[in-house]
Formats: sequence, structure tokens, C-alpha cells
Amino acid sequence: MDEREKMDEEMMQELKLIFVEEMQKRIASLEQSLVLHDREAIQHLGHKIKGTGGSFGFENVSLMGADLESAAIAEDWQTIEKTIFKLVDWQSENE
Amino acid sequence: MAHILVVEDDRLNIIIFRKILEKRGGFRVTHSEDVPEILNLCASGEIDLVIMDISLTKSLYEGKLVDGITITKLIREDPASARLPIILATAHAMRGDREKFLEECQADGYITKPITDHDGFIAAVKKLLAVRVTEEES
Repeated sequence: MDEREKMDEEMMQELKLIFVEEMQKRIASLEQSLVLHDREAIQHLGHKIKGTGGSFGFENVSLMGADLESAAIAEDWQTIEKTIFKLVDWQSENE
Repeated sequence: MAHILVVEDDRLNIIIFRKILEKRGGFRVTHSEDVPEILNLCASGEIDLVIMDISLTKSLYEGKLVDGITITKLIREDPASARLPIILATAHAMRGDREKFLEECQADGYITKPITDHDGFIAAVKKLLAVRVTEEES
């Protein structure tokens, strides 16, 4: 591994830690919004998650964000619930 | 060193833009969501390029909430900043959005978030900065 690759690797590791920490708050907000049936909050959070995950090396999280956003627009509560559970699983794998 | 203004409301995206642009690109980065401050900075000649998020949640202009498209139009209206390179950044990725947004506010580029290709992003920024230098010299 050359110097540049080492620096990139270190930067990505640091970014991943920042992302996982912030996602704890966002997933907690999602769970609360699910209980409150707050469709708009879920759509907004889904959009934000879609727009960030991949930048931090978590493309799968961006895809889950996109699923949440479109399910919120379609008022598909079954998919919303399923996707939030998938995010909770992702969180426990990355703690 | 080129100075880049990042207009963005998401904490995570501010971090990612800073990391990529400062660490990878070697640029100087300033962040703002405050519309009068953005317009002043752009008109001051201190800024070489703007990264503009489209969906903003806290940016007010004359008492009204405005998005990145409106702020880009305001930057363009001022002769002092009319030709400043602006790259729109958005997680809206519907077909046709790119053309619609670029035409609406005369931005120079468009990137989709998340930014999975960090090097490609830096290359796009450098390309627009090079055009600006060539224009200034001519």
C-alpha cells in the first residue's frame, strides 16, 4: 500500500466512524417517527440518508434511504417499517 | 490555493465536502447557509467556486425560506458574481432533473449525492476552476 492509499484508507475509516455515530441519532428519529406515523419526517430523513451513505462508503445505506423516501411518498407503511428494521440491523452490525 | 464555498445544510455532507475538498483536493473550504453572507462572499472575489445544495432547510432571504436554485439565481444577478462557477449538489436523481435545474439557474455543473467517486468529484471541480483561470487570462 503506498502513502496515498494509506491516507485514503485512514480517511475512509475516520469518515465511517463519523457516519455510524450520526446514524444512531437518525435511526432513533426514524423509529420515533414510525411510532408517531409522521410520514413527512420519514420522507425527509430517508432523503438525507439516501444523499449521504454512499459518500461514507455505505452504498447499501443510501439504497435503504431511497427505499424509505419512496415508501413514504407512496404511504407504504409496511415497506417503511421493514426498511427501518433493516437500518437497525445495519446499526447493530456496525457498532 | 482555490477557495471553495460550500452551501449545505446536512452536517454529514458538510463533513464529507470538507474532507474531500481539503484533504484530497488541497482546497480552502468555507461553509455557509446564511444567504446574505453567501451573496457577500461570492461578490467579494474571495471565492473561486461554489458547491450549492439544492434542498436547504434553514436558509432565509427577505424572510422567506429559499433553496439552492434561488440562491444561485441571486448570485447570478449580481454582476460581481455573475460568472462564478457553481456546481449544484442534490440527492434528487430523477431523470431530467439535471437539465431542468441547470437550465433554470444557469449553474455550471451538477453532482448527485451520495458522492461515491471522490476522485471524480475533485476532477470535476478542478476542470471548472481551470476554465475560470483561462477566462480570466483572456
